Amino acid sequence: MTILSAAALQAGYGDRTILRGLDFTVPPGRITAIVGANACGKSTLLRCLARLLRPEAGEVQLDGRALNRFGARDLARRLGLLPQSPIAPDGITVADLVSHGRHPHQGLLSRWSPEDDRAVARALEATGMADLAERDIDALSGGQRQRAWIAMALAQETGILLLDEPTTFLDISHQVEVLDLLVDLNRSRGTTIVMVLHDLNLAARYADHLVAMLDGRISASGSPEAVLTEAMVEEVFGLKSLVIPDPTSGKPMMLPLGRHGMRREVAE
Amino acid sequence: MTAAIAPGPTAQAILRRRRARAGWLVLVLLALAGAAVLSVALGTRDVGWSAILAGVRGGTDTIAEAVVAVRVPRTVLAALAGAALGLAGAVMQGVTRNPLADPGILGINAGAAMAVVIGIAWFGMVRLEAFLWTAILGAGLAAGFVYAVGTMGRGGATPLKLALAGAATAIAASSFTVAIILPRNDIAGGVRSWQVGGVGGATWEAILPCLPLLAAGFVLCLISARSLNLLALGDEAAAGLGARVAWARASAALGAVMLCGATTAICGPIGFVGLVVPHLCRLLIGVDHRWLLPFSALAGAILLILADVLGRIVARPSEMDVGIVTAFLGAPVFIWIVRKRRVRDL
Repeated sequence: MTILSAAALQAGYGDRTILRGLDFTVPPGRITAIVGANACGKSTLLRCLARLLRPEAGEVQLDGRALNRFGARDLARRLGLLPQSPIAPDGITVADLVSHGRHPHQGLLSRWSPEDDRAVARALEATGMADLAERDIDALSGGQRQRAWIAMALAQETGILLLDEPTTFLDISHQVEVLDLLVDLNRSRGTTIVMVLHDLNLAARYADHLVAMLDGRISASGSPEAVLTEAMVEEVFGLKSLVIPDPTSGKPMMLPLGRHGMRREVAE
Repeated sequence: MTAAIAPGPTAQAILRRRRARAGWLVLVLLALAGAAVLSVALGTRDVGWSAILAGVRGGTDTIAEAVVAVRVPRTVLAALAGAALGLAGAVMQGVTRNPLADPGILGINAGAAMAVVIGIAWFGMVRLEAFLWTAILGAGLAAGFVYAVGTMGRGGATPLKLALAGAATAIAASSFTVAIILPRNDIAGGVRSWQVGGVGGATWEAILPCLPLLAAGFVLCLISARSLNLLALGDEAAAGLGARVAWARASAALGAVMLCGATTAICGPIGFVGLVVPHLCRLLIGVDHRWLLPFSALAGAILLILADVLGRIVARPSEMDVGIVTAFLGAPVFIWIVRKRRVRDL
C-alpha cells in the first residue's frame, strides 16, 4: 500500500512561510481529515502533498521516494487530486469530464483503450453518475457536479486521493452525500483518502484519523475521539465548546458556546 | 464485466461524436475548396473560365490570365494567414482560459507591428526575412510582457488581468507606432497600408520564407491540444492529472506567437479572426481541443479567403484591405461573445 509522508516540511508563498517544520505520515488505507482555523496551513499542507507547491525545506515522499523525482504522469497514476474549485469547461458532458481522468494512463499517441472505457464505467457506476453520463455538467446540481469531479479522480485509479474542501459550497444534504460516497470508495477500493474539511462534526463522523492544525504545525492527531476535545477546540479555534457523543454515530460532537443564545446553566 | 465484450457507454459516445465531427470536417473542407475557387475567379476584373484554368497553370499570355496568376498566391496567403490566426486564437483562448483572448486583444499583433515599424524607420529594414524575425521577436516580447504584467499581484495570471494588460499593451504599442511614423513622410504611406492588414500584394517570393516558421508554429500548436484540454479544468486539476502546466502553457504560447509574428510580418496586423473563428468552431464541434484546433485553422482559412473576396467586390473598381473587412465582421461577434458569456469567465 502506498505511503505518503512529509518530513521537516517548510512551505509558504513568496516570503510568507506558513508550514514550519511539519512531520506527517498519511495512514494508508484510511480516511484522514485535516481541520483547523482559516490560514492555519491545512490547504498549504495538501498542496505540498499533491506537489502543487514546492517546499522551501524538507520533503514529501511517496513510498520512500522524493515527490519531485516522479514524472508528471507517473505521479498522476499514483496520486489523485481534487482541487477546491476546479473549472468545468462550457458544454462538457459528465462522460467527457470523467474520461480526462484517464490522461495519465495514456501515452502520447495511444488511443482510447477498452481498459480506459472500463475505468470510466466503473467510476461512473461507483459515484452513481452512470445515468447522467451524457448530461452537461452545467445542468447538474451542486452535489451531482461534485460527484462528477470525484468520478474523474476515480477514473485516474490512484491509491491515494487528496481532496481540498470537497464539501464547500454544497448544502448539507449534498455534503453528506459526498462524504458517504468517499467512505464507500475507501471501503470498496481501499483508496487512501486525505481531505481538508471545515466542518468539525462531519470530519469527526467520517474520518478514521483526524489532524488538527495550528499556525503551520500539527497540534493534535489521532482518532476523532482523541483529537476532538474541548481543550483542542479552545487551543486551535480559540472557541469555548461542549463536546458530547453524537447520539447518531457515537463519535464526538462539538457544540460551540457563544455569548448569546445559551441556556443559563450552560452559560455559567 | 460486459464492457469487455461490447463497447462501453463512453466508447459509444466517443464514436457517435466522432462521426458527427467527421461530417463537419467534410463540410468544412468543401467550404474551403469553394472559397478558394471563388477567390481565384472573382475580383475587380471579370475573367472567363478559360483564363482561370490557364492562369492557375501559370499562364500569363492575356491580361485575364495574368490577373488569375496573381490571385493564386494571394489565395494561398489568405488561407495560410487565416489558418494561422484562427489556430493562434484558439490556442491563446485555451492557454489563458479567456474567451476574449485573441492575438489582437492580447497585444501580440500590435507588438509585432511595432517591432516591424521600428525596424523600417530606425534600421532601414527592407527584406522580408528581416520583417519576419523582427515581427516574431516583437510578438514574443509583447506576449512575455503581457503575461508578466498579468501575473503580478495575487492570484497569478487571471483572465481579467491578462485581458487588461493585453489591451493596455496593444494601445501603447499602437500609439508608439504612430509616434514613430508621424514625422516620417518617406515611409508613412507604405507602412500605413501594411498596418491595415492585407493579402493583396502576395507573391510566391513573399510566402516561401514564412513557410518553415508557419509550419513550426502549426506543429507546436497542434501537439498542445491534449494539454489545453487539461488546462481547461484549471491549473491545479491539470497538474493533478499529470500535465506539466508551465511547460505546456509556454510551448503552446510559443507556437501561437510564431504564427502571429509570421502572419503579421507578411500581411500586417489582421484582427478578429483569432477571436471569432474558435467561438464559431466551438458551437459546431465542442470544446475538445484535439478537434477545435484543426477546425479553427480550417475555418480561419475560409474566413480570411472570403473576407478578401468580399473586399475585392464591395469596393469595385478599387479594393478594400482584408483587415478592414474582418474588423467589420468581427466587431459584432465580439459584442455577441461579451453579452453571451457570463462574467465568471473573466
